[in-house]
Amino acid sequence: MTDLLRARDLTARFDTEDGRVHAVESVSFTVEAGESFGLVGESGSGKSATALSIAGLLPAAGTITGGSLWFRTPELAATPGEHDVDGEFVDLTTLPANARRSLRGTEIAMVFQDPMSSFDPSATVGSQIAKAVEVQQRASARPRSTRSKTETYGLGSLIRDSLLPTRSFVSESSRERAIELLERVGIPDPARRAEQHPTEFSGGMLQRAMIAQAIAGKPRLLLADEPTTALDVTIQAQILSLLNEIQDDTGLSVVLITHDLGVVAHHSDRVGVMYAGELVERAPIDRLFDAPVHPYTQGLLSAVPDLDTTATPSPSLSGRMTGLHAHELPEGCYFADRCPQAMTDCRAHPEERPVAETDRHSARCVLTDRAFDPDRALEPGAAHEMERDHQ
Amino acid sequence: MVSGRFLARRFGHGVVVVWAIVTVVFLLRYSTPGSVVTTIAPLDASPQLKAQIARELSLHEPLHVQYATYLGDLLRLDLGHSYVNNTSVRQLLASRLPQTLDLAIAATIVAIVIAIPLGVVSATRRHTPTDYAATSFSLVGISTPNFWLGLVLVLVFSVGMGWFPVSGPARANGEVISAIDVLYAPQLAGRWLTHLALPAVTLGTYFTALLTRLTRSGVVEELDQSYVRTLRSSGLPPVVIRYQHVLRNALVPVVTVLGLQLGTLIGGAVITERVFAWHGLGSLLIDAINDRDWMVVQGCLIVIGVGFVVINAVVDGIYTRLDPEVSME
Repeated sequence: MTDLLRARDLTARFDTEDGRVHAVESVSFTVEAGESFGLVGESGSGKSATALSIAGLLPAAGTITGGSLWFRTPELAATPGEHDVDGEFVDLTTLPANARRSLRGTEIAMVFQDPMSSFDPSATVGSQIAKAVEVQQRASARPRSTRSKTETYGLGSLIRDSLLPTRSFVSESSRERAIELLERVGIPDPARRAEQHPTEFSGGMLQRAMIAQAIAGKPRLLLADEPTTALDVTIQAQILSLLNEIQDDTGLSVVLITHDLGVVAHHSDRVGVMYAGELVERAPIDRLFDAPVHPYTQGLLSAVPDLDTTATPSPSLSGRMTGLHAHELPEGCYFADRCPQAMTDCRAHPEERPVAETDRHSARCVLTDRAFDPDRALEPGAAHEMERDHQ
Repeated sequence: MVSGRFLARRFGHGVVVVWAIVTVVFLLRYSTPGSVVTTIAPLDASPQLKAQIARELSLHEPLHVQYATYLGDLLRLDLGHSYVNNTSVRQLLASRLPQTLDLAIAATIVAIVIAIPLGVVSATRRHTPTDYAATSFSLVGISTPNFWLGLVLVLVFSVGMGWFPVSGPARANGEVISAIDVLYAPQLAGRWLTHLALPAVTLGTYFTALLTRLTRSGVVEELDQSYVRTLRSSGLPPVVIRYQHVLRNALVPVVTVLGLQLGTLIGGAVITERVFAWHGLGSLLIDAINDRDWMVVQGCLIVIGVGFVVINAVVDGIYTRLDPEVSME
């Protein structure tokens, strides 16, 4: 399979009043064309920040401070510019803002967690999807080389559009396409629904509409950030099967971000597990479930209730994730103070290493090349206790 | 969007409020000490004039009959007679109202044209020199008194540069001209505008500053909403996101203040009108109060009140365009 996205040592920081937050720390993974890559971790582990970095949508306080995001876009790679090119790949982190925007919607799209707040409450759902269609139509009308340098839409035409009610940003064909898209994602009576406002939709219907908006520009990469978290369990399953169906139809790649291992189990081909801003383990889905290496992954898996066995679930991970401010991060492994298998070796920060025979499975843990040695074990939670005493 | 029922309901409200205004104005005659005639008559009125006033107001009739006569006169747009100016109040208002509307609307246009883009730019470039310049401007604009600003503008641009006339409205053949005259005689537009420019800027500065602040804070708040990120994720140009979505949602408080301020401008531009010798409603009202020209005071109050009602109805109409929740209620 060909690669679509290669993240290499991606590092992102947030500047807050309390100092710099190490939101994404040297994260590397590859997304292949047509595959579904799951990104799992608890809240604050850097999953969303990773996705927003790829989409170029980090909030103002956030910046990509290191690493690269190689995205396969032959057209843009052939265009001269200041961006870094490697064959058919372009480093997204070196693209100017305009070129970055020209990729959004048409190459890289995103679905967000809370559908209720993700639509403009004062515009109709149909018009918002139609605008996404319009962006794609205008984009395909001219070559990317000129698009990257000029605005597709100027202030002059905006004023004209606003003053003349018969004109608007969207054409009639975009509107029709928006209705087709609403139908595609399973919204009944799409023509009527398109004229309604977000407040007239249910959460599940609105999440379908958001998927319609995301696929409106025919993107090749869809970043789905907790797309089912805000929904009822029955609706969750429908949304996931809709995503599967669309992926089968269009062959787009999906990065599915979730805190729920059950979700990736049914949807993803490969999985990356994030902890404290780092990617601590990545593997094909079967391997991750059968032979997890990182104790954090093992902890996550044991926390998933299993209806098939009567065994009592193992105790959940104790303690909390370390704070991500520079002064809070421990020198050694970030997980050591919660880790049941922490050893003296963990005082040094572990590198990401392949697990034994396969390079498709790797982990950021000393256990990749040695077994747990009880003689060298650290007192479980020692670092954590010390910190609490100190406070 | 705007339903017929909504319009009918608004019109009904408006009628009730106007009725309340004219009733209060009627009762004000009786709230001042002494007889109604001494309230209404000028200080130097002759006994014949006082008798005439008493006759016109049918003071020998019971109060409800006087009230009915008064309402009947109003319905026929008969606002009485100005004894000081010796002309009908209706004529007086008809000559002054266009001047006031010119000034108020010009000031509002100045405010909208400057404040809204400035507020949006300021909000989208938060904590940059552009933003600091815009916020400083609005602070200064809100704090500058009108009479001082008017005089300074006259000194610099009229006396110093000679670009604009020092004061007074534009005239043609000795007659004061307003926007309506310009519609019929477009060749007067230039003269009309040069006379209008400085008063409009003077009156509009505070308004511009206020709206800039409101727009900025509204847009800042809206920019943090999740939907902005969604729109950006579909690759929409920033200018479309800012003006078609963010600004639209931020406009509700702006439109509210815009309506209230425009209402105030109709009656309250006294200081600016004085500085520029402008023949508007504000100075008419103040003069009438000084001269105890009661029928004129009454006419001015009714016009200002009706103006407020109309503007508020328009503002409500705009709400239904901005916020779908309003029209769905």
